[in-house]
Amino acid sequence: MSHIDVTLSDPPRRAGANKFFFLALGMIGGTYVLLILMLLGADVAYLISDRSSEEVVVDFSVDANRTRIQSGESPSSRFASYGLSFSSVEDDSSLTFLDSSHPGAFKEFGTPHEDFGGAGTGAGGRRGVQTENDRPLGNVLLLTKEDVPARGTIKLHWKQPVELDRVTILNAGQGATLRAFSSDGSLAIARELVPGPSSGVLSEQLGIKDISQLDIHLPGGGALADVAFFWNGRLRADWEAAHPFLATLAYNPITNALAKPEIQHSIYLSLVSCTITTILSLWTAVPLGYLLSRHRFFGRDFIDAVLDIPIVLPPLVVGLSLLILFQFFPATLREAVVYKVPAVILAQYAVACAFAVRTMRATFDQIDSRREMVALTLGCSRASAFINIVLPECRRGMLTAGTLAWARALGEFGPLLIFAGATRNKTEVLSTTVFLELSVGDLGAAVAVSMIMVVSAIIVLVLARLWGTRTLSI
Amino acid sequence: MIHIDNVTIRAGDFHLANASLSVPTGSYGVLMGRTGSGKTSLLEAIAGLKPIVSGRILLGGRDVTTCTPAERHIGYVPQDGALFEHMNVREHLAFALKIRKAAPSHITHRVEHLAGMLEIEPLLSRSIHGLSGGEKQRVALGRALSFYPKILLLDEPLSALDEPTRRQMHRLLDHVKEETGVTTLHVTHQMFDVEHLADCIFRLDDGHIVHDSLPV
Repeated sequence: MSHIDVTLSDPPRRAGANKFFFLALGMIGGTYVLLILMLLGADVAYLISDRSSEEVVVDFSVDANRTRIQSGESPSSRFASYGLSFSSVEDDSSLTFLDSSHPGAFKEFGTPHEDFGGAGTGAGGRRGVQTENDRPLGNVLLLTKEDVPARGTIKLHWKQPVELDRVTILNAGQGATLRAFSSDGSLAIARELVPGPSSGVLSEQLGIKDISQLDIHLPGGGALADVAFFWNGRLRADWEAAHPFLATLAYNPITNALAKPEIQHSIYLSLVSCTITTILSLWTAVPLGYLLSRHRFFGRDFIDAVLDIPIVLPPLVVGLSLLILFQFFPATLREAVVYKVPAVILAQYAVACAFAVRTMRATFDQIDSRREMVALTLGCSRASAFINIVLPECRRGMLTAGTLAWARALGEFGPLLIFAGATRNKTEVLSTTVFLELSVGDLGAAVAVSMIMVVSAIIVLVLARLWGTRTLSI
Repeated sequence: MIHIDNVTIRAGDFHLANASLSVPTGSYGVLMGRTGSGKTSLLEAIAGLKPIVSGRILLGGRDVTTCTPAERHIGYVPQDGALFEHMNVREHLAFALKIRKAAPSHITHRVEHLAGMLEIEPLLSRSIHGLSGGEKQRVALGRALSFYPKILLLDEPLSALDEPTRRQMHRLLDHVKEETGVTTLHVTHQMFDVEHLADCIFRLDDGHIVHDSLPV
C-alpha cells in the first residue's frame, strides 16, 4: 500500500485583499448614501443661494398696496413699497394718471385706437403701423404742464437696484429716449425708440440688471403705460448691508414661507391632522398588532395580507378608493367629510395606520410571551397581564409606531389631493403646499416648505433611533 | 400534592399521552427527560398555560383541570426566569401581592422577607438589566413564592448557570424547601442538578412517563 504524503498549506492571500473587498462593497452601497446626501445638500444649497426675484408689472391700474388708482391722481409715493418713485425733471412739468379708456380731451392718449374700437386718435396707433395701439392700457402716467400734455422727462428711481425688463410708452409724436443708470450711477444703457406720429405704442424689452434709475425722455410729450422689473420681493433695511449674515438669518426663503398666512395654516393643519392620525393609528395598531402576534385564528393570514394593501398600493389609488367609498355613503356624511379636514385625517390614517400595525406587530413578536404566561400564574387575568406587563414593555415600540405613523402622515400627498383636495387655507397641508407653490412657480417657497418637512422627518427619525428600537424588522 | 391523572397533551407534532405522576405534599419532585421530550409542556399544562386533551390535574386534592392559571395558585419559574423588563427587583417581588390588592405594609414586609431568604437584599432597587444569571433566577423564584403558593413549578432553573452558582442555587432551593414546605415539581435534563434535592424522580421518554423511581 502506497503512502501519500499530503502537505496542506494556507491558501494564498494577497495583503490588503480584505480592504479591497470592503472598499468595493462601500463603493456600491455608498452611491445610494451619496445620493441621499446630495438631495439634502442641493436643497440647502438652493436655499442659501436663492436670490429669488419676482416680477413686478407696474401698469398703474393699482398701486403697490393693491389700491385702485383713479384718473387725475398724482403718483407721489404710491409705489414706495417697491422702492420706486416717479418724478418729472423739465419745464415744471408734472405727472398725472390718466384713464386711457376715457381720455376726455387727451384723445391721442386714448387706448386702444379708434381703429380697434377704442377712444384713441392719431396716426401712430392706426391698424397696420409698427406702433399700432391695439389694446386697452388702462391708466397711464402722463407728463403734463398746467393740465395739458407736455414734453419732458419721466424719471424712475429705485431705492435698491432691479432688473429692468420692459417699458411701454404711449407716444405723443416724437418717439422717446431711454437712459438707464446702474446703482453706481454709470449709464447702463441708452436707447432711442422709433419716432413716429402720435398715439403709437412703443414697447421696449430691456432685460438689464442692477438698474437704479431710468430716464424716459419724451421730446414730443407722452405717457408711460407700464414698466416691468424684477426685484427680490422686499425692501432691505439699512442694517442689512452691515450685517449680511443676520439679514440672511432673518430673511430667507424659509422665514418668507413661514410669514405667509396660508403656509402658517398649512403647518397648523399638518401638525393637528398628523397628531390625530397618530393617535387613531396607535388606537388601532396596538390591539390589532397584539392579536396578530399572539393568537392563531381563522382568517389571520388574510388580515395580514389585507394590511399590506395600503403599503403596496399606489397612493393615488388609496385616495380614489376613499372617494369612491364615500359615494356609497349618505350625502350628509359625504358632505361633512370629502374635501374637508376630516378627509385629510382619513386619507392620512388609511395609509399611516398600516405602518403602525406592522411596527406594533414586530414589537409584540419581540416581547417574550412567557412573561404574560408568568403574569397569568401570578394572579393576572388576560386583560390585566396586557395592561400591567405588555403595555409597559411595548412602550418603545408604541413610540416608534407613533413616530412612523406621524412621519408617514406628514408626507402623504396623493390620497389627500384626490380625497381632500388642495384648497388653500382649508385642506392644505405641507405636502400640498409644496405642490401648490410649485404650481404657481414659486420654487423658493416650495423648497423652503420641503426643508421644513425634511427637518421634521429628521427630528422624528432621530427620536425613533434614540428610543432604541432600530432593530425592529418592519 | 401534585397529582396528574392520565393527562394527554397535543401541540403540533408533539404528543404526550396518558401521563400520570404524583408528588406528595411538601415533597420535591423532579421530572427528568431529554430536551424536547415534553417536560415543559407538562409543566405548562399543570400551570394551566397549555390546554390538555384529556385527563385530570389535581392540586392539593382539588381538581383544577378547568381552572385558569390564576385560580390554580401556583408559583411558576420558567426557563431563564422571564423577568419583566420594566420592573426593578422590588417590583417583581411585590407584583403578585399588588395584583391581589394586599396592604402596602404587608407587601413591604413580604418583599423584605423574601429578599432575606433569597439573599438579594442589596439588589432590591436595581433594574433587572445587568443582573447575573443566578441573581435573575433568585428574583424569578422570589416572584413565584411571593403570594404563598402551595405548589412550585420550576422549569430548568439551573441549566444556564455555571458550576459555583448552581451549587449556591442548590443550597438556596434546599433552604426554600425547608422554610416554606412548598410542594415542588422541578423539570430538568441534568441528574446532578437534583440528586441533593429530589424526594421523588420521574422520567419522561417518547411521550410517556416511563419511569417513576423511588426517592434517591
